[in-house]
Amino acid sequence: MNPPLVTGDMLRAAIPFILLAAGGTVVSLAGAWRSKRGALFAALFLVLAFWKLFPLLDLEKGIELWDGAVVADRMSAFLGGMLLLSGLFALIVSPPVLRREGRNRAEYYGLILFSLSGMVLFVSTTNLLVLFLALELMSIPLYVLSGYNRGDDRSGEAALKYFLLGSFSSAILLYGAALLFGATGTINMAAMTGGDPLLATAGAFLVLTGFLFKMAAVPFHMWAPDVYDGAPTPITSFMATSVKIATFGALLRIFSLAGGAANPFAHILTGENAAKILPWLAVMTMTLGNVCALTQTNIKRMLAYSSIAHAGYLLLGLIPGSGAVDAKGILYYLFAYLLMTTGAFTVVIALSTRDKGREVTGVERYAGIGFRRPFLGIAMAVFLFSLAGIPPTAGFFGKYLLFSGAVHRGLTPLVVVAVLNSALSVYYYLRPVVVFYMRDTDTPVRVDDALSLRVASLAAVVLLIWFGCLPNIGSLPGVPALLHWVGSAAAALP
Amino acid sequence: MESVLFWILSVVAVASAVLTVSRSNPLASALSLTVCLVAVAGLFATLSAHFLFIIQLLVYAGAVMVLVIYVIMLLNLKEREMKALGLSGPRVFVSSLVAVFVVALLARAQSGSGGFDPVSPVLDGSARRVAEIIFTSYVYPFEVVSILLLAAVVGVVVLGMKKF
Repeated sequence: MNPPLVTGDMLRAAIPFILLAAGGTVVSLAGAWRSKRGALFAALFLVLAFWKLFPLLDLEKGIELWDGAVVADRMSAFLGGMLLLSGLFALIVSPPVLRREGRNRAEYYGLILFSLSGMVLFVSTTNLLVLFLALELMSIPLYVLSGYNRGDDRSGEAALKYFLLGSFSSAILLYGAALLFGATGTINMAAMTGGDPLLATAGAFLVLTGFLFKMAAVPFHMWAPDVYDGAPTPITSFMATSVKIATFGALLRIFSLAGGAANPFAHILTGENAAKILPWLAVMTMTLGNVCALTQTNIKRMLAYSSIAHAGYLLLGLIPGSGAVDAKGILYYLFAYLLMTTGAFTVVIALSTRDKGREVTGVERYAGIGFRRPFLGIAMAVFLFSLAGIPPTAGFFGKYLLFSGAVHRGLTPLVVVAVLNSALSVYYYLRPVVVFYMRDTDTPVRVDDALSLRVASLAAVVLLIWFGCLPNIGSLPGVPALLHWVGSAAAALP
Repeated sequence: MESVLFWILSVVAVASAVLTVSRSNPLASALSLTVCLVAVAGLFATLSAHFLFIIQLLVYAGAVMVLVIYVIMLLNLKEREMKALGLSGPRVFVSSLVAVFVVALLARAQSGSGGFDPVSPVLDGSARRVAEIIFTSYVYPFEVVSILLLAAVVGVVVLGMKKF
């Protein structure tokens, strides 16, 4: 007698993915009739997925199915929640932009849902086959979406660049997966032990390279500024946040499997020579990101380099040092990063205009906005302060958790570099604020006053400050719950 | 008998692969690649992976190659542009470096302990066995592939639409 094909456990574990994939299908299909309502349909499925994901946050014991193809535990639930939040922001801020450009098509939202379903899968698997499929499922819609503004050459350039380089990195990851399989005879990373050390380590490094490309870590960052600049701004915001959450979430899971010394990924983390690679990567990534951001006058490019720098800070949490991977710090930082980056891009969306089909996002155009549009000015200031890590914002607290965790693991020199980098970053984060409040021009600036943009940026501001008051007022409602979820998600890892 | 077949097929595969990268005429490259893919399909057949053999012929040597040749046709390269596609010093250097690395890895896999034997009798490549595995233990990845293809199709439609 065969075991039943579908059980309740399976449904419970896979339902967020199923809902998102079904949502993508339905929304794309609905485009044939009601192409104007795409965002609403997509949001419906997203909320449904949220609702089904919520019980998983308190899952006592993780569910593992099909040889690690689906691993549902509190970790994947928390990461999934953040991914859905990022998707929700994208659904909220996209319609005004698409409407004013006359391209409000349902397929756009369908692709966002498809991409989200890939990401949700990506953070909840230890199976190399599913990992690769999920990587493609999250990337392919993003390649298309970054080229969505077909009237703009830069959008097409961004899509082509992202597609070509992304395909190469996928191929590299796949090659690494093949080597890992050849060395160990299994595609479940949780079950990998032994095998030829050279083959296994080479495989693990190639897989890691695929991840580093997706998170835009140096030296695989070259695509990021061009793609972030050329893509439609809501997509830039979505990419910058959700892809980072997905890659760091998946890496957290993979690296925490490396606790057993026989796991191929343990060579990267604890091997004699290899252990030196991650710290160098982190230092190079944060330094290059910050230094390049200093000279940018286009705010989208500046935020792109800033996102590279933040990948560097996050890499710090992946270095075990004398302890283990800092899952708690990374999760909290990702949460803060999600809010502040989405918020900053939302303000950029509200202030952006088009000149002959090209999007104009130069910082100098923002002169005097701070006084003429007090809310936008204050919101942007909060987001940039948070990105720079200035209290009382969640960005500060995220950095504090990440850096103090690293000090406890004996990585003080790295933390010194990271703090110096943060100090450097204050310069370029404050420049837009200076332009906002200290310069003025007579040329009127067009501002998009769409309600959804205001709601999104207001929500981001409130949440950032709410969770930034953490150390003093730990009893604010919601704050202990978030900390509890972060803690229990981190504890769910082996 | 089998080892004779193996050697013939392997020599053909390697030789045509070298031709694929060394020809400056893209059409010659594409045709060499077809030969290479057919030879590899033959290797699958000698390993009694019948399903893979058929798929390799149908999908790669058939459908994918037709697409590749279509793209070459659409690009309509000039004689002068083709010259630039040929082998040059740095390209030969880098690609042989990668080739040496891969060969070294393979040699090590062949001689090293651990891992598994790719031609062990446990592996049965018949269509029945492949179907059994795909629709039981790999049913989830299989469904994910279908979503992935759907997403790709929607993406292509979006990029190809005449106007929004």
